[in-house]
Amino acid sequence: MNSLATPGVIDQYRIAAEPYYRPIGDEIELYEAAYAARMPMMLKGPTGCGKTRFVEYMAWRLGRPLVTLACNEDMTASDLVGRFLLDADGTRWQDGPLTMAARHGAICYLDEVVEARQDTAVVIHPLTDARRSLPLEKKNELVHAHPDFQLVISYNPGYQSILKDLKQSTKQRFGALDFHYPVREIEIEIVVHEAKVSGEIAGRLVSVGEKTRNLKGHGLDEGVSTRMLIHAGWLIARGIAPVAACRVTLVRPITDDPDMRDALDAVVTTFF
Amino acid sequence: MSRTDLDHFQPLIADLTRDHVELVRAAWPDAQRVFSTEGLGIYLRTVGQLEAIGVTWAAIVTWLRQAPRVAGQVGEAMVPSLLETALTVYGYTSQPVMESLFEIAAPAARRVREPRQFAAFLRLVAEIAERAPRGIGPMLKHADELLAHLSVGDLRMWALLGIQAHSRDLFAQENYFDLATPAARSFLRADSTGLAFVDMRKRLVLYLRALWDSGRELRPFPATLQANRPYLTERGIHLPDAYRAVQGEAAGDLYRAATAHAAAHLAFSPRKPMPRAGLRPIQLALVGLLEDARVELLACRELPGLRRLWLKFHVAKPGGATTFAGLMVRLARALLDPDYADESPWVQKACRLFLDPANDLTDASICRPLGSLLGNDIGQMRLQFNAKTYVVEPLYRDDNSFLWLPEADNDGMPMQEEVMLAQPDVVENDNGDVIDDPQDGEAEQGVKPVGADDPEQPPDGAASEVLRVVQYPEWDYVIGLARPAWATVREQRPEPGDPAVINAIVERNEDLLRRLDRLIRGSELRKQVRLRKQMEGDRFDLDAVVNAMIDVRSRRAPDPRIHTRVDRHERDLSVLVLLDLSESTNDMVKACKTSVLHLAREATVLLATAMDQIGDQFAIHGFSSNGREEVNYLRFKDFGCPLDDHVKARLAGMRGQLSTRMGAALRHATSWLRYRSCDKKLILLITDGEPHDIDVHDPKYLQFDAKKAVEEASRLGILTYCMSVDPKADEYVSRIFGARNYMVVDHIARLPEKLPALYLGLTR
Repeated sequence: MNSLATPGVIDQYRIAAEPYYRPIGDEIELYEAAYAARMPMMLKGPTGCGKTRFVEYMAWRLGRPLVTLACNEDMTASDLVGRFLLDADGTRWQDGPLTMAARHGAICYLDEVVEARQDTAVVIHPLTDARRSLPLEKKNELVHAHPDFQLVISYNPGYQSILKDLKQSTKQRFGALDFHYPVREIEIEIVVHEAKVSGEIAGRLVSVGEKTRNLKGHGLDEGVSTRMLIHAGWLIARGIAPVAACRVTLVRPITDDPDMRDALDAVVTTFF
Repeated sequence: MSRTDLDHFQPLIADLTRDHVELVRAAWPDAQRVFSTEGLGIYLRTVGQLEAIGVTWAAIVTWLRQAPRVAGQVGEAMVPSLLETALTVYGYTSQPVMESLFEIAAPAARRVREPRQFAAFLRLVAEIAERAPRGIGPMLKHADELLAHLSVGDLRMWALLGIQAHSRDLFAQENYFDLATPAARSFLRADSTGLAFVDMRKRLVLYLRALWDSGRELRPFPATLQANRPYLTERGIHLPDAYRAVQGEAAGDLYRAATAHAAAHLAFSPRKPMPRAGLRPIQLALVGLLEDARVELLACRELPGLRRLWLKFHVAKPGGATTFAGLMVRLARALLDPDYADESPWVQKACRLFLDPANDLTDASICRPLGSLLGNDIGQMRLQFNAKTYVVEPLYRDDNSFLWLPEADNDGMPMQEEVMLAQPDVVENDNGDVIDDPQDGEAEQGVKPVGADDPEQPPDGAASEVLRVVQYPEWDYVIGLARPAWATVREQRPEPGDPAVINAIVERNEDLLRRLDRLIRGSELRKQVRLRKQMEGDRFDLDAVVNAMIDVRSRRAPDPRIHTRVDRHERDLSVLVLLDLSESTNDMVKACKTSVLHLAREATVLLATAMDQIGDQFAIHGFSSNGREEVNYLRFKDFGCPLDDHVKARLAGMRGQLSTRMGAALRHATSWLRYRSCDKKLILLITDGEPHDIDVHDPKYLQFDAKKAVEEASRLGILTYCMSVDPKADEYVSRIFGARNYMVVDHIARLPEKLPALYLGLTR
């Protein structure tokens, strides 16, 4: 009846190869300790600074499957928990990603959790305190979380409106790690590794990134992220002229304002 | 004898006086070259006409010399029209003005090229002579410059703007046509260079912020061809309002280069100005140049692309005459451009000494001894240096005045200096002239450049602090054109009053508020909706499931829409309440013994309470105006700030004064709403009468402008709704806001209860 309860279904969520992750501080030790205590974690930081990559890396390192769910404002509690479906023989219960992770002892990663409506976020409460259980009231079942289960959420405090903040009762269940764009040397190292460009090109890309971050709050919601710099590096490594690559991957995506575009183009030509 | 010889036209010259015949004879060879035989006849007859009205000898000479040139440019058929126009001008003005038309005719013909355009130009001249006789003379003086930038059609717009803007003040009109007012010039600039400071401002602010993380203020100053170097002061970076000789893309780069250079100074130059003591002007110039090079080299270390940007403007080449100015530009390039080689031993020496790897470029003090030394070398070369005409090159560099302490009163610079060998300590104050820095002087004068934000200067008579100055265009329905940067909105901090006044309003209206509360609850603004028969949902829609199962059992394809979902209808709305705070709102309303303003305020407070309860985003702003230069804009409550005691205090301090320039206020309100991200945006204008202002006498003018502002807002997705308490408002309000977007409240006393109810209806 419950196809997802079958052992093995979770294996598709295992991470086979080691993801590249360059530690910035002591976040790995902190996370490992938090996992040992099965403490729910919250990863805070701007978009594209490596939160998701960090979770993947930690799941690999801890040998746990990783169930990722990108939240959006249309998401309801059923999308997390599961719902009845109809098939030829009648109704059938389908576990949602959260339930599946709880049953099988995976790490469940809810990306951009504030995007989900506040009443949706509340369903995670019983899983994130001492109860570690998930009531499926429609099915009349209480799922006790697998001992290896852990919940991780990501959260970008900057750009959401105040209306879309997390409830205090949600926030206070989590330990939190702050992520930022890495310092220059590390960011260069990351761009070199991920985009396979020379250190010199990566250095210039990182300079562009740093300068655009000065504009945060002055017309840009966020500066250019490490992820975007890697995108630019990909194109440059494939033989695209650096100025064109930056225009396509850095400037045009982050702004529609012609004046801002002009200023950012000028920043790019300052380094290329 | 050729048929075009003068003697051939005996009957025509028979009437001319002898002097004039001599003049004609002198001008004849030129005329022969361009005129046909017939044209020559007309040419001669015009002399007769001029003689007949008794013009001076000089005027006839001018005419004789200029008419053939005009004919050469646009054809001889234009010559009679020119004379006719000249006679019209003479009729309205004086003979010298007519003469200046003769003078300008040929250059104007060269500018417009087309005979038809030239005819249009002549018609325009006649029109201006008729409508603004005092303006035509000055305009003709600048006609060549004007036509260099404007087409004849644009010139007409420019002239009409001037005539209308200064219809009451003939002196100002004369100044306008003399290009002595910023408004006259701004039109010229915006149209001519295509890239003025106003176009670049935002880009430069972002550029400065991105590269240097500096929020330094950028300010325009009215530049002339002589004084167009940027300068730095405590108040910010001052850039020319337009680079006149530079067009298009290059002008953008020039502005960026100037901004980057100034930013490099701010980052690397010493904060404190240095004393000039012991340095002669030539050495000051050299120390400045070395300092420029020093900060640029330092900046290039961090921002390598700046070198390419700056080098675009270093066009000096080796060789040529050895002048001081020439050597300076070559040295400037040699210091910045590693690929540049100069054969001048002086330049080579300077580069060697300055770029010596042992020098620590971060140390500003290296420039001074080196500058003195190189200055002495120039002395040995006996090169002339004129401190008065010297300007920093290239164009993007600032005048370096901020590097130096102001001169002491009796320590003036000599006008002309021949630098003498080995006399560095001679104090040259013989003639005692104090030469002010021309650019600094200009900026500190009272003339406020167009587009310059000058928050330090409060407007006359207003005690409130000015937070922001923004200029908006204004629509002129007569010429069918927006007057650029016409109305100046000054955003001010409202004076606070006693918040208890507002709390008293709330208390007094407790009944009404309770009713409103019920109304809000009853209207279910955030009602939940159960959606049935959905493809996806939280739970089954049992009826649909039963039907689907029946379909399945009877081997039919079931309807997959078997879920139900509960959705919440979210309000996502931003409202800006814009209050008319003009003098007329102080009128008393008999029915309730209070003023219109107080009623409007009461209504606003109740509305605010309601909006707060519903959870809508709202702001409360107000405006009044005192001519186009002073549209006061007060922000009582902003979006996202709570309805607290500060807001209440500001609302309590509200008072009515001055006039109602609605369009500018609407445009400014629009700018506040424009970038808010929400589904619906609404400006709710509460006014007591039609738009009017002291400098506008045509009531339709501001109405049409307001209508235009409403249209502009609606194009940006912002709805404008007007609540008017003027019983006669129907006609003009519907014209401005559209048939459905207004409400006229007949019983003013009922405004406080009407407004929130209206709002609920409007936003449901």
